[in-house]
Amino acid sequence: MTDLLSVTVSGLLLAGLYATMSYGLTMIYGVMKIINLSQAGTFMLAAYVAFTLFTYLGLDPMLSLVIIVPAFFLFGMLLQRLFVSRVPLANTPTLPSLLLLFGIWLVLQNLAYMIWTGDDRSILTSYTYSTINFLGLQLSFTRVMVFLIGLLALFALQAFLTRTYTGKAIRALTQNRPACMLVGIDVDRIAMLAFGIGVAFDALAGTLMSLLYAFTPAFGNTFMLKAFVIIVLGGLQNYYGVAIGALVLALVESWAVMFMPASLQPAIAYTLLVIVLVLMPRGITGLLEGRRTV
Amino acid sequence: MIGLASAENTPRPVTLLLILVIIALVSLPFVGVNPYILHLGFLTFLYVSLSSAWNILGGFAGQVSFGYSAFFGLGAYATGILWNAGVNPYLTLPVGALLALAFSLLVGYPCFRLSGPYFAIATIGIGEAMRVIMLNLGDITGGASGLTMPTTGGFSKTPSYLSALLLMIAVLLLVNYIRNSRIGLALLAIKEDQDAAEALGVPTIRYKLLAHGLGAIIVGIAGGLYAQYMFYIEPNNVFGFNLSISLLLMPVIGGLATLWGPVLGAIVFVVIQDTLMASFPHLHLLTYGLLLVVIVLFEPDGLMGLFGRLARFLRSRYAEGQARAPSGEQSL
Amino acid sequence: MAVLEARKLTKYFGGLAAVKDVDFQVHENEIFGIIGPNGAGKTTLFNLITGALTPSSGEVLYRGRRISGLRPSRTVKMGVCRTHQVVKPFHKMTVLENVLVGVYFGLSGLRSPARARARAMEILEFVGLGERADAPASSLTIGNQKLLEIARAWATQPELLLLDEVCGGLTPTETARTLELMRKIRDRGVTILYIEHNMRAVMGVCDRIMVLNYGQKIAEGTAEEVSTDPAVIEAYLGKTFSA
Repeated sequence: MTDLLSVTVSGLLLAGLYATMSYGLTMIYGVMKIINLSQAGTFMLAAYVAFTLFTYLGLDPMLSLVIIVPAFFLFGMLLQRLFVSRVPLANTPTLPSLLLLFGIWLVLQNLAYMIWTGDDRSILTSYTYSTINFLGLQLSFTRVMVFLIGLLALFALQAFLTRTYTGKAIRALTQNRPACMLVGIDVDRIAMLAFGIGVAFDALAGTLMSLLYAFTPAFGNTFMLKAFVIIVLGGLQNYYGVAIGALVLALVESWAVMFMPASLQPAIAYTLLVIVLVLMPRGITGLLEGRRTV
Repeated sequence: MIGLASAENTPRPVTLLLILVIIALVSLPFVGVNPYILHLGFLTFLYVSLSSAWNILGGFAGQVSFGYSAFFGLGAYATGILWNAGVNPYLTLPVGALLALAFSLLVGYPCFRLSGPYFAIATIGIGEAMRVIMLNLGDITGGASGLTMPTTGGFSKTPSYLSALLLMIAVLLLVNYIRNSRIGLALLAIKEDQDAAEALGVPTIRYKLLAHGLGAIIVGIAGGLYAQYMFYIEPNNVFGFNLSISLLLMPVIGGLATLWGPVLGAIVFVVIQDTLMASFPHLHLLTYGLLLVVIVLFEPDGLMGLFGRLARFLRSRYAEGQARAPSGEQSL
Repeated sequence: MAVLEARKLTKYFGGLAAVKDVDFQVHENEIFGIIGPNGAGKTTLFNLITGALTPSSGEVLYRGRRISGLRPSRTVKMGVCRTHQVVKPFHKMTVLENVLVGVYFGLSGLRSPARARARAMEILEFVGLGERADAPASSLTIGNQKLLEIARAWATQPELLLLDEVCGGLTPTETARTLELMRKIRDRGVTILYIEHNMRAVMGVCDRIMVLNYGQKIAEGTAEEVSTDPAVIEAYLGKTFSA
């Protein structure tokens, strides 16, 4: 029983990270209808930046977020302006956009190999091994912090999307691009901001991951695939759906460890992805809303 | 525009030249050439076959797949396991091909009902799921430590070189046939507008399955040849995501939906890999990433498109020169 | 037997009936028009007929067989082909290649490239695009793209051709040319169902016309009968004019 409880609680904590790493993908998909295949590159790059700041300046990764997140926001906007804005958009991701972002990922990954080599890196802080006692469960302090930061980011995102002009424009653009152009929203500017915010979220997630996992330049790949699973589960551009998708994946993965070898765990996400795509292409929220005709 | 409507096919001199090239390639192992050349030849033929295989569904029909390593892995392991069980390695190739074909249909049937990006995403999941599952089937695949073939069979470089050459020629003939037949037209129609193609009577799902299946057979056989050549395979390698990526990069860089584009892409790939791999292990993928970005932004038709543009430019310069020649005095 | 028959065809979106209890029959070798003001349910009805949408109730029968739920490529093999309101040419192919798709995959499904090309060329001459055969489809004017859309569909050798607003957005000259083509195709023994917003076009070419308003049939008959029907005038012009 305690086993189930502790597995479930760790699943919940994981869901926080999973949601954080999926919001960027959703936002970029929503506004531009492209799949940001360079996301894994951002996860990895953010982890290395956090590692570098920690190793050379002694800056704690949770503090360095203050630098990393804005820096990647700018980086994202630059990527959008220089590259992404040059490929034509459509209602579904186009081949050029997939290939372009995939190319950017390759470049980032292999640049990282040249800068940081392929050795395993990890960040060992004073609190890496500390635990806190919660309802009789020993929980990793880092995991709880990651969960809390993720939760905080979620609230910030929620406030941004509902309270600010840009946030509202992003939501409007997600739902109906032509209408937004008609009412005079500067679609290009919003797209750039949305890409920046998306990449900033990815960087946040990447930094948090650097506290939990060892990484190499190839890092991020599996997490990006999981983020796909999550947003597909969530119906691609629904922020609540993404939270639910993250929870489902994290819990299924955590529970599965009780029945099968841990080495098979990565296959869960992929299998779930295929099942979901084939059986419910409109995601969980699509199922909840019922069959709606176009 | 795609050469279907016009009656012209490959012109005679080109056909003759190709036959000469093939004769030269076949005779290469028998004139005592450096084994390293044979090694490069084997790799090039293998990559050209893989690249052209991806081009059938990805280039002609426009369905991007990130999961072709599954076919390669199945082919490689079919050969590896059966060879170890005492089966003649050549007889294992059809087994791998059939296995890959069956898998492609199993995957394609549900996935081709999905539109647009879903297929591409699903293939990432399928490819990676296969890798992880194979890693865990240690009893069969040898897990992460891989599978070693019996070296007593005495496979020297020459037979592998010739098998790969044969495969490549067969694949190019197949692609050439597809390109000039109604199959090619159907696939191109699917790429441009699937709904319109379906409305004009093209059974789109069946044709996508056909293209996927043909690609799978080729990649499966290539996997088997690879196992024969390397004597050693492991899941992270033959089922790896990197392999799927290479398969996609070559035809995209060379030029999609053409006969020679994927060939060009594969040759460039082998050359870049061969010159950069040893000294700068990651520079070749970096180069490929940059090439990809440049190609998407400036030359969507790949190197073939670039060459076409260059040819047109030179021709117009030549024509200009011809036109100007009589009034040459003025230009002084 | 009617070529095409709709029985109590109904489609609900949410609680709203976009098409309600529509009955009609299309007879052999006629041009049957369906018109109605904006939002009358024309497009929904068209999608129900082509099988793109499944009816909430009722059915569509082509020569006594149900065709809803079949994939479009299957219905083509039964002799039913449609065009799209927003034209969907294969932009990167030539005009001839566009038509070749229909020739290769239509009812008879020619396999010999030489014969297929000859047939495609014949069709292009017939519709008046012969000179543009080798031009990229994307280079055609919108009027010619609409002609190509019809040419491609006709290339599948349909017995029943479903045309969706093929005169929308065309100049009067282009419209006249398109209507002329429809008559010529009908004279070759094809039955045509034609949905159109452009009332004048429909009035000029159709043997019988059905008028739709708010998803229901309000009139059916010849152009003359329909155009003098008070219910139709009211639907198009409002109540004041119907007196």
